[in-house]
Amino acid sequence: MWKAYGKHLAKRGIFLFLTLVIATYATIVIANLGGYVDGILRKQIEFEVSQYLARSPTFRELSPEEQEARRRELIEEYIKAAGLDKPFLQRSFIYLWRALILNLGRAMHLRSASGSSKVYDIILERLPWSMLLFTTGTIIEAVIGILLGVNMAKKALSKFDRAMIVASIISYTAPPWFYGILAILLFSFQLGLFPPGGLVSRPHESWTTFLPDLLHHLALPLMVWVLSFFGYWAYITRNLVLETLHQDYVMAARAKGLPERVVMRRYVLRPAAPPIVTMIALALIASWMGAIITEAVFGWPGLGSLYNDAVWSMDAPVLIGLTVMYAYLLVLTVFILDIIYSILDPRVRTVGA
Amino acid sequence: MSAPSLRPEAVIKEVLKTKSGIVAAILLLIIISLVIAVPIYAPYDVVKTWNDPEAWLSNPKNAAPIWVERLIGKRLPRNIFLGDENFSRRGFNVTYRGFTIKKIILRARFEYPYDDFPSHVRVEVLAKTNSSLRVSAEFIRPDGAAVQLFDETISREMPRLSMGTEGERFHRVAEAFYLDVTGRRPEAVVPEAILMASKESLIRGEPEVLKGRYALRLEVTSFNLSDDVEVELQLYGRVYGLAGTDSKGRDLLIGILWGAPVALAFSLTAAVVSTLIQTLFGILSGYLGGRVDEVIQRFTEFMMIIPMLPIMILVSFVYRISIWTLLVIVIVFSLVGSTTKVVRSMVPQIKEESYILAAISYGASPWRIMFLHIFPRVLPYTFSILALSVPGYVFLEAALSYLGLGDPVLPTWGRILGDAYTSGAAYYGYWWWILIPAGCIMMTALAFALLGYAFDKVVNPRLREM
Amino acid sequence: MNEMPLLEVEGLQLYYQTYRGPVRAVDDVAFDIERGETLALVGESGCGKTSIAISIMRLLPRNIHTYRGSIIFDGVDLMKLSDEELRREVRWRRISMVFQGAMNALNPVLPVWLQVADPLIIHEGVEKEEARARAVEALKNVGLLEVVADRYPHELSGGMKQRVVIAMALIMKPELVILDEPTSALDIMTQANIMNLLKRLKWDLKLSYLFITHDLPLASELSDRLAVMYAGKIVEVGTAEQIYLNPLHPYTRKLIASVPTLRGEKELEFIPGEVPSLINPPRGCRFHPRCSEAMPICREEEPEMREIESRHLVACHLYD
Repeated sequence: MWKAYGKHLAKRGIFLFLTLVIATYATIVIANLGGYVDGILRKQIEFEVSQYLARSPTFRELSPEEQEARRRELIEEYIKAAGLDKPFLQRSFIYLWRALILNLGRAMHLRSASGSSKVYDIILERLPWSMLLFTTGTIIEAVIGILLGVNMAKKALSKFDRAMIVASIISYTAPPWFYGILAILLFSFQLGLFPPGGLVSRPHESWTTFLPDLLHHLALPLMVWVLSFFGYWAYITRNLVLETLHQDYVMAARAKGLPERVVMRRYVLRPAAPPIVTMIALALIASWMGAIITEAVFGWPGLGSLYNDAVWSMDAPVLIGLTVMYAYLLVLTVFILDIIYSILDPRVRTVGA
Repeated sequence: MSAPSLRPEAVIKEVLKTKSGIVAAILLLIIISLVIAVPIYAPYDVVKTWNDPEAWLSNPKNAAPIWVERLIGKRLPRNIFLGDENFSRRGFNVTYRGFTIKKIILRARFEYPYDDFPSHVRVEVLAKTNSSLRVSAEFIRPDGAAVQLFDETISREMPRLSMGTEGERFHRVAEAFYLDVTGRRPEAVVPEAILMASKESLIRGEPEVLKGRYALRLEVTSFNLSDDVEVELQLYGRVYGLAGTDSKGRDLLIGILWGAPVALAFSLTAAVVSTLIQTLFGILSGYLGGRVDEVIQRFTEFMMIIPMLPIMILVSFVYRISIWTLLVIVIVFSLVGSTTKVVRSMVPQIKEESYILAAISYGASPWRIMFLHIFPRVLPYTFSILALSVPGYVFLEAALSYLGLGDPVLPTWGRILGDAYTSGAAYYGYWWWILIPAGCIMMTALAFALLGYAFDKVVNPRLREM
Repeated sequence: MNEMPLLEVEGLQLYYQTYRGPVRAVDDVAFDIERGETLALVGESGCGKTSIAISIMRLLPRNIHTYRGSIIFDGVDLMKLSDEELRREVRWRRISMVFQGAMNALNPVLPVWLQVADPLIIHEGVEKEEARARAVEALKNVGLLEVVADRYPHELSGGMKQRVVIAMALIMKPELVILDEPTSALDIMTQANIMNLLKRLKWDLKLSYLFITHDLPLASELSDRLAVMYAGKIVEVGTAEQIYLNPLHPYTRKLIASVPTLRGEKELEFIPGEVPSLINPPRGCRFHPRCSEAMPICREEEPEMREIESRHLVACHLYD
């Protein structure tokens, strides 16, 4: 049984990798506007060369023809150095290769706080903030949502259940950034309870002052994130558990005289677990990227707002780097998920023959 | 997943019986009434002026909706506009030492019964002269005090004199008045709140509106007998319309109304088209099986892995696009997705039904079977999926507009929200600018979410009777 | 057998709550089962047979409108026991159930041995090792190989699953086993095998069976007595011989007449009309709309159960 599954897993792996490659390439093409950015870079080089030469005293002594020749020479040199002499199509594959081995290069405009222009550094600098906010948020919302969902299923059709269904619908209808705007209006400006955004209010010397300020700033986006998603978990868990509760083997378990605890644990939650675990993994992965718009609303310096900054400053290397990272993480998670799912649900193991 | 046979009309009737179905229907009616109001209140030529600042000059800026009065219990000032025709004229000639001087006295009055000061006051004088003339203006309060606003000579080269409460002149006049009345200098100079406040409240230090009849009196002196002036006085209110105004003075109601059909058209089209196409793919995949199934499944997984939002932000930024192009891109991204998988899992059971087998045996082509037999069976289930996908699209369009990447011409709800945010509406407390468009977005999204939930309950009876 | 019956059911009522009204699945039912006896409960689908089974074991769903009567098992009224007492003392230890093969009575994510053995682990505190050994033995006892023990349900055929469910039901050596359509999803050959197995087990372990089925000839194979059920009520009870040779109730007669025989000519009859709604059952005798011998009184009064010959009872106005 495991052998057939192993083959299936291998096929999956190849397919996922292919997806990764195509997604990365697509981003490269779009981010470079199919070569349009090249034109901009070229013009930039020409401009800078002209500027540079205009300040050079030796240059001014040359004749117009010589000046022109010198100018062209220098431009050619720079273009070659930047690799712009090759056609875009060719360069795009070089980028693709580099991206796949995670050689992310240097950013065009953006810099990390320490001044580094390496895309890797820039991304790494922002990653922890996204993780802090969104991974924490995802864990909290999943826990709250799932517990709520199980309770709703146990008390199905009661007033509690009905009220919670309405709450869940309202919750997951709107995205977190939407609640964020409203929350900022109410809690930050009207009530003055929380700061309207950013990481901290002022630079700190020590951890003891940094931490409370950070938490104070973390509170609102975290609340808003949990608020927006708990409904999703609750609703889906409720339906999943309800469906499982009505399975015949649950009645059989009760007929066997097993105590309710055991019935719930082994005969309801265990079978219902696989889809929920899938959802958790996918949600975690989505959380790593940080919601772009939510970070924009709160001015939270994570990967999402890095993405925003990269788009607005048309910094292609950063964009590509982010997308590649995301794609890798996603593909990895999907793959690991397949394996975990097969451990939880033996029915899946017979697939792939 | 089981798929017993359901008739669409029966489903709709059942849905309207559920509580969520009723609420959803009510919300939808509200939205539709907004859409109907569009050609009446905000026809396209009016909407085109949304981006034209000139059109909104005479509106108060950042004004709250009129009904706010009821909430606060104060009478809030409306716009008071006195054009040239509102001024009474009295022209006469005066002879002085052999010179004939023309004098015109212009006078206009207005009642000011409000509990709050106007947000802005503007006086404009346009001189119609070949050389120059002299104008002096006096602002006469109900308590009789007259404040001289200016005493200037206007020449032909610069015939327009404009004085607004944001300017230096008004500030100086107000400051002088304050000093005169209270004997001290004011901490902050808000000309409206000084010139129209009762003296005793100024002395107290808490300006209160002096209600009553105000007047503006102008005296024009000129050597030229044919000279004349045109005058305009405008007091900008603090409330306007049903939805207030934004920082450019735009009537938000127009934006709100216009946003309704955009939101509906965009999200409904995206939802319908994507659900339809995904369903078709699901049927193809489930019915034809084999290679076709494999290909479609891989394609589906591929699309589900590619992140739509980042790429759309990228594309909208790089290629400035209109809302319809955006729609096309969204649809392209949604050609396959989770609906494909769901529909695919329904097909095997339907395939086994006897009327399908009968159709195959009398030689019906696969296409005929898929479209004439399987598709109608799957349809009621897609209703709930369709309805539930609408809110996503509503918020997607709102998000992109909010970020400034949406349609550059049309005022959509997201765009209004975005303008509000970047203009600091939250900070200044212009809550209507945020809450009204947000409320509309939420209402639309909720309407469809509830509708989808009601459909789900009807179509999955297990959810109802458990 | 003059001792007290093992199971005595009296006035049993089970109504389900639906948004269209209460469904009277079991409407004032009475029967009894002696020790070592097999009683078959025969009827069409939807007549309430499975509801009787879950009533006895109190495996009630949430939407119950009415649940009353008396279920006296070995002298104790089960209705009067608390949920906890029922769970600990009665379920599986003394009364167990074999579910329909078509039901997925087996948990898909647990291996077979664990599902067979977990009552042992829970109720008797048996160690996992020993419990597994006993489970393997039980599986062998129903004709399965040891390898099945570590398999998952989806890897087994229908017949194998049915055997597992039987092994599961007998693991604690109960006194009464309720068999709910144990062979309906199986092919003829497997069906025969399972029936033989059940017969053997009954003999070896001295079991009493409540055998629920819609298949009349199958019922008579295994059972000592048959009870015919219609629309939530028992209409006739008797030994297999009595029912076959001398069916009293018109419904019973039609049932027998609609069964094909391998030998001899027989004109097959069918019963016209539809099964009545259990929400709004017909007034009077519930069978009267489809009964070829209906009399005016049948429309007005419900017939009472009368003993016509020894241990052969019927509820029909023809015998008033």
